[in-house]
Amino acid sequence: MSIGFGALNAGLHKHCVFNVDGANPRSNKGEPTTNLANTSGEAIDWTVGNLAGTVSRTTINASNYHYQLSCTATSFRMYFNANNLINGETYTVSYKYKITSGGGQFRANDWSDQSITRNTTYLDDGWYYETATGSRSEYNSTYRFLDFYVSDTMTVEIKEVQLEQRATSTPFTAYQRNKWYDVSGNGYDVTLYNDPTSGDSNGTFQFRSRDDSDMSYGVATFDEGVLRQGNEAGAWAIETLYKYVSVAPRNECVVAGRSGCHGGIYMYSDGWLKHAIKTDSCWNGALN
Amino acid sequence: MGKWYHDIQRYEHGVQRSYLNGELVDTATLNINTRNMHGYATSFRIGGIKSATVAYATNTDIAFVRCYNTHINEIEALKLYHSAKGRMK
Repeated sequence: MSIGFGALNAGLHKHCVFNVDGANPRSNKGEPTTNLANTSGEAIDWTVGNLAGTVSRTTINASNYHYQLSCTATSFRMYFNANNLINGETYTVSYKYKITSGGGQFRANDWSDQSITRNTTYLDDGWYYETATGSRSEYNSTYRFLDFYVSDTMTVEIKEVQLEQRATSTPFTAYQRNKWYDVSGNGYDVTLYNDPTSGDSNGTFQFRSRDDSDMSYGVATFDEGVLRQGNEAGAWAIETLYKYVSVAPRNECVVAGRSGCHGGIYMYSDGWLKHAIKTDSCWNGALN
Repeated sequence: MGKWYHDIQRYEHGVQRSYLNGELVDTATLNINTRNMHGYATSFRIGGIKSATVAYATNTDIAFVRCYNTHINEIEALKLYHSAKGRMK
């Protein structure tokens, strides 16, 4: 099976036991995020309420997160779970909508009575994709909503509502997207922690840890002996492509084969790359 | 600053070799008579490591990570680098 690293080393394919690649859409299915408009059980966690107008919600297809809103002018609220909102943080709400009867304007208006940055894109067949970004110093049982402006009585279909704690939207996920998928065929998928971002332009994951206590990283769980390092007679290799965005202000880890330094590739604060194999003297075998 | 690395770490029979951008840059010998390679834990980490005694974060863009259950020879290392260098931008 092709694992996406070109024909130059076709003979290595059968020996590749792990392959995650930011430029491969089967490996990188989108930026890590959590959809706070749904519960961890992937059920919706948003409601609607009357404001200057009235609104009611009916379900079209819950599996597709597809609903119908019957609205009257001139506004209604979409409420989220206050337990998911952190004071002072910026949130982006995104959704697709289509006006199916009536007419006029339908749009996000404010985030918990604070101004928003709104972007609306036409998709097709009457559907639009809209995002609204805003922040508020304090969220509570009252301030936990996105207000909508509705110019006239209308029926609107809305689907894939997503609330993210970030300043830009990402593609819809039912709750959480936090994996880098192994395309070697062995299923050693990487679980990502603390949301490293995916680079739009160069097919990478961008690790931007401010310090060791606020660390983004990924973990894959191999079967014992995948790299044959359980005995000294084995042979294995690790290949990686990465870019340092700045001079390392401290010792940094790119890849680590275990919670020590087995099979590790590190950058030390003195500017030296270090390669290490875990032995009973941890850095024995380290190379600059 | 903003520097790309194509990096291969190769191990075979007590010998470790490091290839950087297709070139062999260093070799080290692990004396298996005096240093046992530790038993392998199953956790493989990308972009940072954190344990009770070690915590190394990083600021890098990681394009890919691959593991092989064989060593990679000099010719293969160079070919892999040439396959990857178009992404160094």
